[in-house]
Amino acid sequence: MSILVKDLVYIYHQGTPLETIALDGIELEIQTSRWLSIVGHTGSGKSTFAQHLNALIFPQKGEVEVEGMKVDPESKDLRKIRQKVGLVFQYPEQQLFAETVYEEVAFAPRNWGIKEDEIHERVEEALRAVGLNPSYYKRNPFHLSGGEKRRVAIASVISARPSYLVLDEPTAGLDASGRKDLLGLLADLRERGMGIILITHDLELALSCSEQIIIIEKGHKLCCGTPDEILVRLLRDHVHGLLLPETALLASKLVSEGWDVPLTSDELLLARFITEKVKS
Amino acid sequence: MKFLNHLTFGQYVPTESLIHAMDPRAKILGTVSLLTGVFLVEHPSAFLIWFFLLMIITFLSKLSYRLILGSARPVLILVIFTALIHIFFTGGTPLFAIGFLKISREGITMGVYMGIRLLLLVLFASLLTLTTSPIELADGLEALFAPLKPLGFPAHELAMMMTIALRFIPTLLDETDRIMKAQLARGADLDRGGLIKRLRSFIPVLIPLFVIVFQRADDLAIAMESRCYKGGKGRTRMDPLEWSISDSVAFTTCLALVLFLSWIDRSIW
Ligand SMILES: Nc1ncnc2c1ncn2[C@@H]1O[C@H](COP(=O)(O)OP(=O)(O)O)[C@@H](O)[C@H]1O
Ligand SMILES: [Mg+2]
Repeated sequence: MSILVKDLVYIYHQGTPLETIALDGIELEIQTSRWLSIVGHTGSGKSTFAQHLNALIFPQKGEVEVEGMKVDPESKDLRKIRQKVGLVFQYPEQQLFAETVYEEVAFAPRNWGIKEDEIHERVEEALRAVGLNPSYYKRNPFHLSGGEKRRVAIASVISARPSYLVLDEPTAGLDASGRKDLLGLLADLRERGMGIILITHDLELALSCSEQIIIIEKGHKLCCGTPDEILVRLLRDHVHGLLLPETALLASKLVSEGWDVPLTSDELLLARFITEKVKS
Repeated sequence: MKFLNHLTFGQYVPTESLIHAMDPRAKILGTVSLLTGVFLVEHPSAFLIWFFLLMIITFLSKLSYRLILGSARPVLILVIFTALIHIFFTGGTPLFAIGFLKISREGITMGVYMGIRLLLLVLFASLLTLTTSPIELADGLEALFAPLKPLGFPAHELAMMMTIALRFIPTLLDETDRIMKAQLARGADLDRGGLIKRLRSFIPVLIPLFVIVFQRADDLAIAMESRCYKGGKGRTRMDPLEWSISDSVAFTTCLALVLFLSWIDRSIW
């Protein structure tokens, strides 16, 4: 089971002076229970891409297929596609509207026509997953802290039990510990078989957690591969607007000085190699 | 499903053209005189001349004809509605009747006239907003109304409010689009069911939108205050408006055209 993207093109305001080519021939296959990160500079087309996966906008050219269902305005399966692919927008806390945390998280399963007793189970599960205990159920989401709001918003998407979870810049505006918690949560969901599609402009973040990375620039797929492959590639050709992790720069510097260390962005791994070298 | 992903009605399109470069005051005065002219038209063939004039100005402003004609689309319903009202409710000798509605020759003429007039008004007005940035427009209006300031007319405040409103309309449309999409992604069903059901289903869109609007307004007020905004008194401009010879020429041409056309309209035809 997978999401297939073939030669996807999307242009905003086509045929007017404000025409912007957002996506220009993207090809991709996304597997369930894998962690894919899509990395690119601001304005490279990441958010536009994300909205195609969820059938919120439709390919102007090319194809997007979610588990065999075509993303097309005429399709009968649009709601099924949206149920399969959960989409967490950038700043998802801005979409909160309900009076209680419980109602907010129950919104999606209710829309999908789930029965009331199962809804309860799903809400509990989703809130537990994001680390909010039952004392939160009756609270007003607007009175929570920023980080808690973000967690409620994410719970309100995973309560639909999607097969894929697309997150658009989910770490924007979170502090370091909030970021770490979030990545932990995503790793758990991934363990339980959900496909994670993380969209970010933060290369270091993507390198630290993904199984596969795709770099897009100006709507083109620049390269794709495992974190190690991407790192080697980016050390070779600099991509505008993407900062390599300091650790990787240090590793590459050491290699060019003749040290035998791996090119990695993992500081613990690098530190171990360096200590070994220094000792021997 | 249709989102708010089209050009907003009459949204400024920045290009370099003779019309874009004009002083906003000249453009506003010129447009007002053209609009008056449209209202003075009496003979049907004069409408053709007005459409021709519209095309010439569009050409000079380097905008596409499709864009300018498309800008009337949102008000087309209004145009048709106005025409129908006049067709049905103008007195005169009835030609035929549908039920209690009597349709007269005068009614049809009046309806068609009003429809075309309204269409022309919208087209000329959107020509102004398509070629003039909201800031320029507000500056121009403020300058034109400045003589009324001693009488207590809040020219600056109104211009500032207009600038802010115009500046935020596209942003709000974007926000609405984004929130609608976020709720659709969570399975909201925004376009099914009867009126009440639809209104109810928009609650998840309206509440977040209000929260964002108030937040934005608050931020803007703080930003303005922290830059010592105290209203229009003693305020200077980075780009003072400059009325040049070409603006005089353009405005005089508009005025002369209007006078000339309505004179022809009355005396020759
Ligand atoms: N609603 C929209 N209308 C017009 N242009 C848009 C819209 N959304 C995005 N764009 C443009 O499309 C390009 C890609 O944007 P986006 O997909 O948001 O990129 P990213 O998420 O990588 O920052 C940008 O140039 C942006 O200005
Ligand atoms: Mg984005």
